[in-house]
Amino acid sequence: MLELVTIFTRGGVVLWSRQSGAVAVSPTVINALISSAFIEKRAVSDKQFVHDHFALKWAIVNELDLVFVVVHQKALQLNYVDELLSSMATSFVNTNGDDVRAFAAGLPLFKPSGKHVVDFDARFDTIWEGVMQRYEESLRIPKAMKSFEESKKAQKSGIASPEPKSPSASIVTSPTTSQPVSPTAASSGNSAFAPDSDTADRLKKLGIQSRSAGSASKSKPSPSASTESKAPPKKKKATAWDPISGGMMTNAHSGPLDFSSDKPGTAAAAAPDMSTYTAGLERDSLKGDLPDIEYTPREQDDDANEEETADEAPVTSPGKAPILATPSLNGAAAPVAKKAGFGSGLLSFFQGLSGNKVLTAEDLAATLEKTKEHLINKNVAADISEKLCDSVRTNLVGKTMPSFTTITSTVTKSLEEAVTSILSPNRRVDILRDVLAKRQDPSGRPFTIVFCGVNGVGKSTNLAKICYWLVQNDISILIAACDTFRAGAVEQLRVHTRCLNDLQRSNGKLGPNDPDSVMLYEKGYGKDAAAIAFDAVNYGRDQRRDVVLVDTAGRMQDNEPLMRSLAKLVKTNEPDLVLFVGEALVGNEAVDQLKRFNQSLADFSESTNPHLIDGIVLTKFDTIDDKVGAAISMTYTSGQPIVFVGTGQTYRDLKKLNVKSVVQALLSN
Amino acid sequence: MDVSLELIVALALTVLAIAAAAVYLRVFRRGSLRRSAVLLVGIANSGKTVLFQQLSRGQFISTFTSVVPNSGTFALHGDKSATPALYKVVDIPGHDRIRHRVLDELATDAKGVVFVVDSANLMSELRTMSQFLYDVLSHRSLAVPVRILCNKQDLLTAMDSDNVKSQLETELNIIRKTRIAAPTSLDETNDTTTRELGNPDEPFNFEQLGSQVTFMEASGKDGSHLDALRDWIAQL
Repeated sequence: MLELVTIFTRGGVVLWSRQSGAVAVSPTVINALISSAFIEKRAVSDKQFVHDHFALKWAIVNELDLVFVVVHQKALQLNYVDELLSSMATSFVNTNGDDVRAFAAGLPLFKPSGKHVVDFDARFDTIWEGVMQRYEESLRIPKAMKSFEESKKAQKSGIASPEPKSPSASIVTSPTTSQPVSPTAASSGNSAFAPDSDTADRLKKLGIQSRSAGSASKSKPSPSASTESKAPPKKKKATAWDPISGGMMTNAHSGPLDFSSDKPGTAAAAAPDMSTYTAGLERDSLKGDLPDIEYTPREQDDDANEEETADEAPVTSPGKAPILATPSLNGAAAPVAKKAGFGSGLLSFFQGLSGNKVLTAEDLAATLEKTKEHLINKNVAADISEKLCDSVRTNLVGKTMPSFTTITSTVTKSLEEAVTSILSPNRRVDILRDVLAKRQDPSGRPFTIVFCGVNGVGKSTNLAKICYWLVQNDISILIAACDTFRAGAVEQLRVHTRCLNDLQRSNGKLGPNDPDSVMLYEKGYGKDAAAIAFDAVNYGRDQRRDVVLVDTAGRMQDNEPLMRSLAKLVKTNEPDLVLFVGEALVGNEAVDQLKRFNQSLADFSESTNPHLIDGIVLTKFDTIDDKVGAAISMTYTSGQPIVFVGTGQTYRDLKKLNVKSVVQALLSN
Repeated sequence: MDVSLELIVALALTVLAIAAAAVYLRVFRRGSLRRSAVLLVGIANSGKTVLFQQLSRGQFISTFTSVVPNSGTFALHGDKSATPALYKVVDIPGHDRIRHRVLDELATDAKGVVFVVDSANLMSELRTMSQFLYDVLSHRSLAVPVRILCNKQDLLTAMDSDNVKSQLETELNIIRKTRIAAPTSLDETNDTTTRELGNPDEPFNFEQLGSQVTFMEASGKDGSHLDALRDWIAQL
């Protein structure tokens, strides 16, 4: 039933795998998953990846940088894969966590020849039998689904996962809360900051909390208890915010900004204060006052959050502040000494400093929310901001924070990496090189580039700029005027052609009797664009042109007849490059445009291997200041690189994208 | 009472933290002055992670595409001396979307670069790998010895190092032309590849770079000829 089960590190080292299908699964299947889900940050939401006729499901354990993957036939619907993955993850992390860390640290972990780095065979068999048994039971009982879930829940509550509902997602968190892993780290570095009384107090809280966080009940060994005690208070904090932010709006304070100054002075007073407004609210008001998200303020704010945790604990526990206590999940929390709460806050603050803090989804929620808004303010499409933040969360939950970092800086770092990978081309981009290679082509076919896009984004203008750039590099060009619709489109190209040729002659690059560097192929208006392009390519071959640039009419992405004609043009002419021209001013629309253009090229081409968009020309980049979001939206949506950037009105205003500076602009305030 | 006590404690701890941070940063800075790492670079699927495992453990372990770098400071496997020297080796993921970012991060710490080439699959990947090799050789902060390792010599279709060398030279010669002609970058100050490569007046060959670039053949799969790589790393 399963084709392949494998466990590997993010570094790519296979720790264990079992091939159970008859046909070996090629590594390219797993590599495709890695590339798509982990590098390009796609498909993070639905947790199923389909490649060829295989379906892949996976689980991630961030603190060990491990990935668990199950591969099965696409046609099969296997309900137990999620359970299998979570059981495997739990078992593996519990038993082999130290091995993996030693391995990752570069210590030799000699694998017996012919076997895997980690011996997991026997345990996998046990887990597999258990899972299959439960699965078959669930089939036998009439009300299959219900009882299956219940049994799963019953089974899980004993192990790790607090929520059996979202299976794969919970794996990401489950081993992290129950992890026996950071105890080692904790015991080494934590001891200085974790007084025993503290731990005891927190454990007491835990005992009561274990209802909500099932994982806590598992805390048998004392070192793991101390780490778990780290997670639940965090959880408590976050769950407390939400219900209140709804209820306490009327109490809105004008003081949220002051609370950093409040904090040292009147810490005791600050505690009830904290209860009246919530972190969520506070964040909103902060946003209102400071329209742009500052880095430094954010860090301060973050430090404040850490302190907040400190103060939150005493507030909830003594029941002194009924407002907070009632709606929160922690209403039942037993009274805990105030000092302990203060200590725990300092503890968590220092955990942040000393690099012992394990991040939970709750820690990240507030920062990610702000980050999302920041991205949207930078003109990144809304759902892409959401996806980016999701991928950052998946990446960070369970990670131990590096020393001397705040949550904000950790999130920013992770976001920076994600955005850089998205903007970095997924393949070699060197048009000049490809044109030179095409020259050697025995067919004599010129290198053909088709420009497409919606109306008024600058297709013809940027075509002319690219033309200028190519001409400068001694490449002969034929422009095919396939915009047979807009009045003046052909004349516009004719003027460009004349200008470019004049330039070449005045530069002395072209003798008076040499053929023009740039030729125009035109057939007037109202004709079929695909046919004109076809003739143009043939004409270009006869004229021994190096490059044919095909200008098409602008079209809205939902105009089906026009999209059909574009698909036809691309199909009949088989261009080397299809460039989508999009303006950097566009916001949410960018996603729709690219998606629909790609979709149309795929749907209307009636071929099994349609030629989709290969690259993006980002125009009007000079008009957007630092709102560079469209660059992210477009590259994320299409997965294709930005080949050129148009930055002005003259022929020279053609640049290539600099990933670093765009990322800087995106993350700047 | 509580308030002032908490305040004092908080202040004291803050001061302590700042002091600790200062010390930490100082130590860190001093550490980064000396280049310490040997980088394993190359395009995806050329065998970097396998080589990394061979260097550290002397074993072949199957791999998938790396998402994060593998790094470690260890005695090279097969070092017979009584007190083996420790080397920091970093295996940089070869995926198109990651390699430049990670390389830029680590370039300032590099004292040597091993550029891994899939010699069994050279022609289909030649343009991509040459482009990356160009980036590595012209990288502003990577003026360090480069060893081009023609990997996968265990395969029948593998090219020998002389062949690889001449193919790379031809391709680099073309890339050098197209690079000079490429449109300028949006922000020049951020551009990492500014060094000129060789003598632009004559066709490119590796001798123009002096002894910076050397070639070797090896196989990560069966671990053959890796002694030469160890010796090279040791003399860096």
